[in-house]
Amino acid sequence: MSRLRAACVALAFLLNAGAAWPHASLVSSMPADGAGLPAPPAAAVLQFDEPVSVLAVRLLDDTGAALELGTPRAEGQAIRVELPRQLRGGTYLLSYRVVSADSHPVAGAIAFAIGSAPSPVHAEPPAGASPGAGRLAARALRDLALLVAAGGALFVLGIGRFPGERHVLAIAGCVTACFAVAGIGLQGAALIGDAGAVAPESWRIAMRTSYGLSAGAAAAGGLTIAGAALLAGGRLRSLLLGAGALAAAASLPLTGHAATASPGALATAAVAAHGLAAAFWTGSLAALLALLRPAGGMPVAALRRFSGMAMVAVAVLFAAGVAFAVLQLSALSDLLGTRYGNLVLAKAVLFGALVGIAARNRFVLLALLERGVAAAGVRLRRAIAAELALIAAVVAVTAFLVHTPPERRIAATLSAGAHTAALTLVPGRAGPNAISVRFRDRAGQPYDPAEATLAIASVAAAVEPIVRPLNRSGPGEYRYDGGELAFPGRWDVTIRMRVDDFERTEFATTVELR
Amino acid sequence: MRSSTPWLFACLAGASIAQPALAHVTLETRQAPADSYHKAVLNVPHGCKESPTVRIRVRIPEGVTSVKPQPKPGWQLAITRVRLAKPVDAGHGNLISETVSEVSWSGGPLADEHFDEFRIVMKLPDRPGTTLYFPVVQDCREGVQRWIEIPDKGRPAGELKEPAPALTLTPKP
Repeated sequence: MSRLRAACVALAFLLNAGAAWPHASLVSSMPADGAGLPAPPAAAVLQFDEPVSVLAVRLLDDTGAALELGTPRAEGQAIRVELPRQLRGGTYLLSYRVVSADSHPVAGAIAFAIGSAPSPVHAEPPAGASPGAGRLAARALRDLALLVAAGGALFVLGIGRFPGERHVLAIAGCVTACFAVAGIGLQGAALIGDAGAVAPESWRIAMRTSYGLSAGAAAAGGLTIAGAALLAGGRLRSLLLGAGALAAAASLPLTGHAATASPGALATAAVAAHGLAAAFWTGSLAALLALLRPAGGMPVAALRRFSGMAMVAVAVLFAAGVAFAVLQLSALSDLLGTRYGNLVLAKAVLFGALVGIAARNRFVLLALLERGVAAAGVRLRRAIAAELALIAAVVAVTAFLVHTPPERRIAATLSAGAHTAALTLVPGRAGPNAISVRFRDRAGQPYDPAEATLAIASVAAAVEPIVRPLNRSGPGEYRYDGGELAFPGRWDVTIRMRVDDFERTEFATTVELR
Repeated sequence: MRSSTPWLFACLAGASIAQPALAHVTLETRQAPADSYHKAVLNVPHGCKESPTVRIRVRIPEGVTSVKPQPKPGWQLAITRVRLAKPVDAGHGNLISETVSEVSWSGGPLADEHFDEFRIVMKLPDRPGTTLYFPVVQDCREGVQRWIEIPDKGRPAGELKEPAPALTLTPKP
């Protein structure tokens, strides 16, 4: 009899499948799809528009691991499942397969995040957004002033005092602090999108991100150096100069790409060392320029001392820069193929030119100076001025670099019928991505469909489709920013567009994320 | 075996309510001979999530000619025509240069609890073995349902949520 019963159920299922009422669909959920929660929820509830029974519910964390769940219970038109206790902060995907009353399987997934602290990515404005001339200029001026202030302080500590030291350090320190603080408002404005840099809301938002901490460290460092510069001398002055220089250098890895790169300790150390070495070089050049004043004598001893330390600084600068670039770029071809890589390459070229000038200074001009050729002093002055100009260019490139997400940009052009869809994922790795789609018609012109949606699924990890709207950002340009591609692996991305009332087209592809 | 009898009844009942007509907007007849005159009957079994239907729009697939929808009391009939790129022989030596691309019935309303059918006669193309799709947009007082999905390699017909009504052309008798 039980066999007959089973056969009967199977028959009813077969006859019903494929010939159903419009199937059940998810109406709402708790946590809501796309929500960020301050604390881990005890249970998840999926609310459908008709009674359903459960086939499977899976919870995956942002490593792609499936977590153990309680037994899902059907409560009328809802499914309730107990979640593991003490879920840690991060992104979670809850994937479901249910059967609606008409026995048609219905599948989908929702995404939610836990953690009230803004995730590091939120310290950055949406990827791909243009940073704006104001933010770039503020960043470049702050960095230049920071390098001069911190480096000048290091020069005083390591090599000796130089003419105009009080003015240089006080001004550079104050400028660092001013632009660091102004940067908070600019960063907040960029994060909110439509608020001004002086709006209190911009400041509140930016202060909650890693940028606030970094700007605070830079400002404190700058002001400490400026204050110490005004002291006449003594151990307190040296102590304050050293502390200020360290605080200023430490501000660099506190935000930006270093704060989000992995492994974090290595990235932080690399950026801090890179910044400290760059500061020593820059500040020393400014100090030497002052020492090489035509009126003064030839500072041969200081030059020789700097020369020896500079070798170490350049080696550290180079090694730390390369180490950080290796962490951020996934392949050598990224140097040419991504904007981030191009900027790294530009820095490398400028660095090469700097080292060339520095080598000539050390091996040719310093030797001449040591032999008492006074004309070499003028040539050295010019060379150092050129070096400082090159450093300013490096700092400008760096300002662009810190506002450019390191990409492993994944791009694919898909076609269906008369249309093509160019899909781009930035940064193209597991975690938050800016997903943009460019639609083109047969003639290659921008095309705006009647409706466009994105479905993100992973057959490999048994994640059912998470459906998201694609929002128009320009003619034929659509995008969605989100963390649904939560963990490394193969993801199935489907772009659905409705051409007109009657015609729908799909573009499907699989992307591999690290 | 006595106790299995109710199960048998339940089973038959379960199977019998599983008529395709109850489910999606579909064609009553799923097959017709190629190159024949055919009366297509479109079944509309329900509204959009309980909201009553106020308009049914059907897109006529390419190759179908001599399209004539049946007027229905309480519904306003509208026909959209397109020029053909190349005139075709409609039989009896008649060359036609225009054909119907879309038919719509507006009015009703057709309550969610009720069912109705909409008829169109047409001349089918001489392409035996192919399947024609008649995408339907069902406009309701609240919401819209688009029965416009067409199966492909990636998504067989059984997996579609809102499949377009389909008609398979059989060889000429």
